Amino acid sequence: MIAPDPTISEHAALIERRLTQAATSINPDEFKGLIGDPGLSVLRSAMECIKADSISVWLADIDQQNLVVTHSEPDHAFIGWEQSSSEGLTALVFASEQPLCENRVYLNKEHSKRADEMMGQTTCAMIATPFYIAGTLRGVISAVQLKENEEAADPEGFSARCLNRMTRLSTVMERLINYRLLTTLLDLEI
Amino acid sequence: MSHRADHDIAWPTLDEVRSAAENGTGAGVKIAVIDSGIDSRHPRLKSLNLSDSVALVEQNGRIEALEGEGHDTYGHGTAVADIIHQDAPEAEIGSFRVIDARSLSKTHLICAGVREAINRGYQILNCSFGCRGLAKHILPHKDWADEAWIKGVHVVAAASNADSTEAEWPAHFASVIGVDIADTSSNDIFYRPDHLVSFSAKGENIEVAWLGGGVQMQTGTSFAAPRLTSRIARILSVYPYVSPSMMYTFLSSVAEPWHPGLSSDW
Repeated sequence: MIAPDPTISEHAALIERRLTQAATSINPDEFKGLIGDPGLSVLRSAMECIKADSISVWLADIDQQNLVVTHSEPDHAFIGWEQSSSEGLTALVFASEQPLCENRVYLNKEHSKRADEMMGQTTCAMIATPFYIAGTLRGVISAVQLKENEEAADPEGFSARCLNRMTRLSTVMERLINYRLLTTLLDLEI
Repeated sequence: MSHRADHDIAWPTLDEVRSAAENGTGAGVKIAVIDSGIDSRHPRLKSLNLSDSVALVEQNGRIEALEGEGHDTYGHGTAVADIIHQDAPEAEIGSFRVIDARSLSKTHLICAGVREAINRGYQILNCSFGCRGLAKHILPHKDWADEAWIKGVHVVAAASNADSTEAEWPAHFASVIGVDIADTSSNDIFYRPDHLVSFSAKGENIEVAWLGGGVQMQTGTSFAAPRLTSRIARILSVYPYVSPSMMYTFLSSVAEPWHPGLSSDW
């Protein structure tokens, strides 16, 4: 087992503080560059594994009033979409820091149809899980199953295993970004 | 509500506890739902005895306990109350709203909400939330979890949805009944002796009350935890003096044994 190096670990608090500052100042334009190809690959793999039609990363704006879609697979048209941080399942997950999975979304009278109308689709099932960077809550990762219209048959829906997989995805994404930020802050080339 | 000495009590047998866990109604038991509020106007909750509706709100650097007016911000607390009410229909439920997206002091709101519930004499706290297992979260949550334990208040908390071995507070405190999802359609509770999160119950695709008088199909440990809460309420309605330490023993004895087929981990 590798022991901490006291000459480095004495700076740990400072490095952690800088990392948190960097995490809280990430803006949507920088996001894709931060996750890089490994992040994209992990996102796509999770999407395939849980049979989601789309997966999105939402980041909170600076005053935490809105959640903004900073990355979306496979259709990038959803990028830039904004939703209040006090409405809907995504907001609930951001507030409670508790992942959730909702099937048969159309049963939910409160479900916002704005995004569906804009994208020309019907959301049937949704998973949302909190997303952290450098240990700080920064947003939500969501996955959805869609159908073309309300009359079409429902897809399979998400299970607890899918929820579990999405929660792990969030952890892996955080670690990838933390690594990227840390190597940048320390000017490391590894 | 403090722990009582053994000589004061005629302890129930396991068969009596099992019977209480199956047939108790929750009568005389007060359960605090520490969550997003409870929509008291929801049709599925019309027979609910809502004893308190409190909103913990951050105002000018202070946390105030205001009247919650039977309002739920998101629907989550209403869903939790629905599950508890179905299983322990005569229990009183109090709503302590602590989940608010715009608050920068979530941990402090939760701590204030829990303390308010303890001070108002609630015997069970349902915590369908979790804070990541980081060092900075331990002490604030450990403080109230310890206070609850000392005062004989039962705390039930949802475990991480990723993996019940991943630390989350309060579910990972030994004094708290941590609850994971069991991959089952039965109403049984399950006991896993070698884990900090020792209990599990169904929490997948559960039809629950939500905002606007509607229902939703939800999955998450949040909806497994209330099943343990209601089981405790049933037992307390028959044996009100059972302390948290005894309750753990009783629950582990009446629960079904956990097996790997119940796991939702990948």
